[in-house]
Amino acid sequence: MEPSTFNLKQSVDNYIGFIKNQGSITNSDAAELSAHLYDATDSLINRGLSEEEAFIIACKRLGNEDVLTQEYSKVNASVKMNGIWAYLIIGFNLCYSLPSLFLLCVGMFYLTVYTIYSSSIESTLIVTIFHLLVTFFVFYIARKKNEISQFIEKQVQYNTLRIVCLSFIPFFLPLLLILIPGLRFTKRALASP
Amino acid sequence: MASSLAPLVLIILRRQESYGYQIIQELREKSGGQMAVAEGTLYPVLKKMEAKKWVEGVWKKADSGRERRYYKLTSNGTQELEQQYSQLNFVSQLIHKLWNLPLSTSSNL
Repeated sequence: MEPSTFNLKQSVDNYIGFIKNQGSITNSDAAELSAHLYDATDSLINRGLSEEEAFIIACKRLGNEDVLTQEYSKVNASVKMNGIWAYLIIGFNLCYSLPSLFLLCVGMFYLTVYTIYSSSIESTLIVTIFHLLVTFFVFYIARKKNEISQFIEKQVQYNTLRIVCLSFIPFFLPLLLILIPGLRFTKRALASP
Repeated sequence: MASSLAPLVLIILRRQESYGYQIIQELREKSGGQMAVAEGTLYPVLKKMEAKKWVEGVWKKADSGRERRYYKLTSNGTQELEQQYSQLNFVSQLIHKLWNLPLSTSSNL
């Protein structure tokens, strides 16, 4: 017989995570359901079942994600609404602030290159390489779109308020430019985006 | 099934504060294993009762280090339970009386 590779904590987390992904239970609900699964598994183990068997029966008795989601959605109507609003606000913040931040950085970069090399062959080369890198970066982001959306989804699920607040940060980043000493074009760059 | 759970849960909580798994165990035991309900659906019921201020939930750490949410009946809950209890009793007695009426035969008509 092979040694059992069953991991109770991970299995409970998976099962509850699956229910949580349906988007109608809160963190506290998830903790309560997890505690229930642990208690139920323990008592079945005491009756002589293996950990894995006990877990499977405990899940079966708890109910599947459809039943639980349906029942919870009657009491937790606001969970789904909050999620939708969180996505809307985060989406607006990111779509508005990231492109403007990008344009600001590009402007500063061009200006720096121009101040140092003026319109020589070096500056053309640097700008061309920069454009190539930006193109690759865009492709890289496109390739990573799954990871990025999963990351945002997870953040919204586990700590909605934090990710919404964090999404405001890019708006304030240009203010940091004032702090950089000796940046002669700061005022001009800030006035122009 | 979920709606009929509420008075049962209130009756259990009337005796002592308890957490979800213990409540389910008690229902299972007292019904002789006949209580066929997805156990997880108890929690939305508890949550609804908490929103109505019939019960009060508090997270407590057990000796095993495991956290459980304990529920106890509030004074509102006690009132609600008394009302539901007398209502259910009334309905149950009525059902009993009606059930025991003799079946009509054609000769009675």
